[in-house]
Amino acid sequence: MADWSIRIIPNPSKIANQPALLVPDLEDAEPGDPLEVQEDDLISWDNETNQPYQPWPTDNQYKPLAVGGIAPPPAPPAFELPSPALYLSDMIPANLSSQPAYDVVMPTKGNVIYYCLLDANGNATKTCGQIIVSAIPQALKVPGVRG
Amino acid sequence: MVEFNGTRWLAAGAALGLMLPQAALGQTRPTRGGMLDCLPIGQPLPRIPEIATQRTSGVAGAANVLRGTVLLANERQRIVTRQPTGSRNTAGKPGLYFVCQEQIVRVFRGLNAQPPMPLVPENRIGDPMPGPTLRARLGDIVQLTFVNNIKPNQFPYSIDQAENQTQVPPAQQTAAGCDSSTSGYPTLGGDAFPDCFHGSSTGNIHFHGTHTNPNGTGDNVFLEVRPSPIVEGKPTVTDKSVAKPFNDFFKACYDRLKMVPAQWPTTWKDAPLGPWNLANNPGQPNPNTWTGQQALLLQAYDQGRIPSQQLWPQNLQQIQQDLWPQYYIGAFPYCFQISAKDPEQEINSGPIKMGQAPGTHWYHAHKHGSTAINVANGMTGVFIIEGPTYDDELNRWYGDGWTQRQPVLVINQLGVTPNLLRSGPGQTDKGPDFSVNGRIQPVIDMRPGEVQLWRIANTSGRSGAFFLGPPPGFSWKQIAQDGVQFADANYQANTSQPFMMASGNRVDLLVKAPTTPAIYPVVVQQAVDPSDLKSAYPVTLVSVRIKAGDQPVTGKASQFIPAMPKPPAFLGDITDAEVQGTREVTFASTPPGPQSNPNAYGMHTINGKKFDGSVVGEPVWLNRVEEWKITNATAGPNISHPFHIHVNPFQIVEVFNPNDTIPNPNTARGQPPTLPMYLFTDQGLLPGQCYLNPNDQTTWKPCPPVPSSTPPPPPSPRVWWDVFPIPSGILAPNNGPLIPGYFKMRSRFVDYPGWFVLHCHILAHEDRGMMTVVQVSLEKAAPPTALPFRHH
Repeated sequence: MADWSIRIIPNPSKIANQPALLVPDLEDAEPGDPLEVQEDDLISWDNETNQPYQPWPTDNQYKPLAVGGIAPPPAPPAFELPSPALYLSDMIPANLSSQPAYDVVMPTKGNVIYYCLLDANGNATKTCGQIIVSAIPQALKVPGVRG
Repeated sequence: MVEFNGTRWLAAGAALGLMLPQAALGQTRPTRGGMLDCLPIGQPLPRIPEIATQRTSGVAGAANVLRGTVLLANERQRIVTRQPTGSRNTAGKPGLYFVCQEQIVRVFRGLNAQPPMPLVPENRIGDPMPGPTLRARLGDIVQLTFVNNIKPNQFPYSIDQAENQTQVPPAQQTAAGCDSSTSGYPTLGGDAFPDCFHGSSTGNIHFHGTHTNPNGTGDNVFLEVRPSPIVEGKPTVTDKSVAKPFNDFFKACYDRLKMVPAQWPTTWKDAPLGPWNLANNPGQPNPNTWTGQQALLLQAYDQGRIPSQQLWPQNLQQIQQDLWPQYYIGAFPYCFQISAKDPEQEINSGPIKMGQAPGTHWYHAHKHGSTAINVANGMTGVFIIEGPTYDDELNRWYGDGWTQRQPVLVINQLGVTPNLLRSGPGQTDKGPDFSVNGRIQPVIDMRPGEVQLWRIANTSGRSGAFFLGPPPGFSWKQIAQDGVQFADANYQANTSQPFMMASGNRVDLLVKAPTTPAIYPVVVQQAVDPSDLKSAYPVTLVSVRIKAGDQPVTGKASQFIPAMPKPPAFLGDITDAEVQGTREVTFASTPPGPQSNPNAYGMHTINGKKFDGSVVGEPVWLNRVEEWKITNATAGPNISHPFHIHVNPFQIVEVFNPNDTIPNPNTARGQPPTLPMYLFTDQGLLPGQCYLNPNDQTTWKPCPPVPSSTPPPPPSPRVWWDVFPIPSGILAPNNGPLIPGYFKMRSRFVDYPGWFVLHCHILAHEDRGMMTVVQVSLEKAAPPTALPFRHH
């Protein structure tokens, strides 16, 4: 069981029209790298920009999905807990980290969670990322050491 | 994809103490996505850097000062996790294995420790290491600069959520103040502030096992030190920025405390930290004193926060009550005396009644709501207090400085997040495998025939460690429990016994090695209740390596000390005549999933209530000696809640474990090895069995010993504890009552008035409400029932 953090960092040169960049908070990660996790891990986003953002799940073309019957825009409300399986976070205020923490669930199709950041108005931005999910592994088949 | 190849350790082999060849560990290159190769099993037991008392004058003009800086900060570490997770996948189960991942954790680091233990640079990944070992001596003054440089945003929800209530939508107000996850925590379980996981970026230190001032700058767990402000990525409050005011304070503190035990400072009026306000404008902070600067930092911190979440008004209220306020930003100066009492002095003579017992104590994070997560991150360390009746006498036998060269073993269950924040199998996981000094199954080197002293502290926040006994060829003798040395009769009576260390317990153990070179596993089981031992797998805690070719040890260094040194007089038994009052304290856990809410988590209470952060649960007069019955109304699942009370140790005078067993006299094949000691029938009782009548509470007591033709031995001196597991209760059949287990303990509430806490040392239980406040007030004064402190 692990916890992961994804930094939302400024993109002053607005590369690829992205208002911010996503980078897994790992020692050797680069902006745009997917985060590789396992089911039941926890993820949070560290918003290091001066703008609020909300990570929102999309399809593999980065088109926002409806979560719990709600699709942006307008800015989606926060859900009561427990949240729908693909609800990633409430809107994250500038310079704070996200809540609630996302308890990773395997997508119903494939093993990649695609998402983009929504701005304060609930409009999808071009800042998008991927979370690659592994299933919880099985125990190894080894001889028992006690009866 | 996540690559697991190469990061697997065969736990089954490890359970047998097998050293896996390096080749079995596979590839060496780091895998992607935070997965890392694990250190091979069998690493040498790391020696933990120490902060030790200055024995020469010079520091703040004083000798006999434990002086140092404990830094609380983030570190990237290679954290080991057992796979797969789940309630049945307990430590040591065949087929499970370990993976290692890059995780960000909160750690204690000693800035002046020897050897140095710098924080791992931000672009590097370190391996776990406990906080620095503190080593002092009776009578020393502790002067620790505590600095909180955590960067909260690197953690999920680590900023106190309570502080962000303006962000909480109305639909989630029930969860306000708590960490939350999309799995439904805390709403599903009904946890509510302050008894929920929260506030893990706030720091403080509990000096577990110390008999000292529980308030002010002492062992004060109501302190809450928020992280330093961060400007351009750097903390503004550092050890250097507070060095001048803290140095001045430490010198004044030394002068105040060196001669007599005292509780000083008591308010923010006391110079040199104060006065906090200007003489000509009493409502205005004084920018030239440290407390005045703290007032300004707190006022800045409060800007934009809703009134109930502002910290400065609460500090101000406490200041106006002439109390030491509880909220700080970035740093705090701990200063208190380790009391020294003449070991020949009886309890009622001298300036203090109970001195500090010399021995193995420890320290850890103790912020209510985040104790579990912070201890699991590794915010623990050992606090060795040396003294003439213990270390000096052991060294007289084993040689000068011997005790200071002996291994310190810090057991922990390292991890990142409490289970309840997950909804999958991780929610019911029984907790990580034990590490020792940050390593899984490290190796201790011993010479053939050598006797070593192992100072063992179970600093894990959950599991007890049941030591099954010494490895073949070894022998051991316990010489201290919870930092209090054994009387000789107890020392002589134990050789190579199995023993249990609940979360929080310490054991000092003399270990004698055999002369045959080999690697020997020291095997334990992880358990929170004796009933767990039936199914818990044996796992190697550490291994001992005796190398071929090493010269055997001879003489005194190969022998157990013949007799334990005489303990100080104040550690004599508490007699019947001393006891002035009794009371009962009941711990209880409801089983998870009551019919009204099948998804609900278990609830943990003391006397039917969760900690509410405002009421004194147990008021006691100073200098009273009391006998408390600590009961456990928990059954199904059984949990032996480890009872812990701060400041004053206690002695056990009676234990009732309704789930206890006796050896089965019928040793025929197929018969169970043990039988229940208590039966719900008065028919067919064997010697050693008792009738537990569900309708007669007078039968809910210990079974008397079996009559014997030989006279019983004289009673041994009682052992002192500061953590003791309360035996679980049992459910009577046919929907009968829950019959609680209990123990009775005696304690002297002496020397130090003030507020402190008692709680379950399964720290997630404590965070979720299984804690209450003890107030020791001046004799005959009517104690108030309102606690002047709050919890954020």
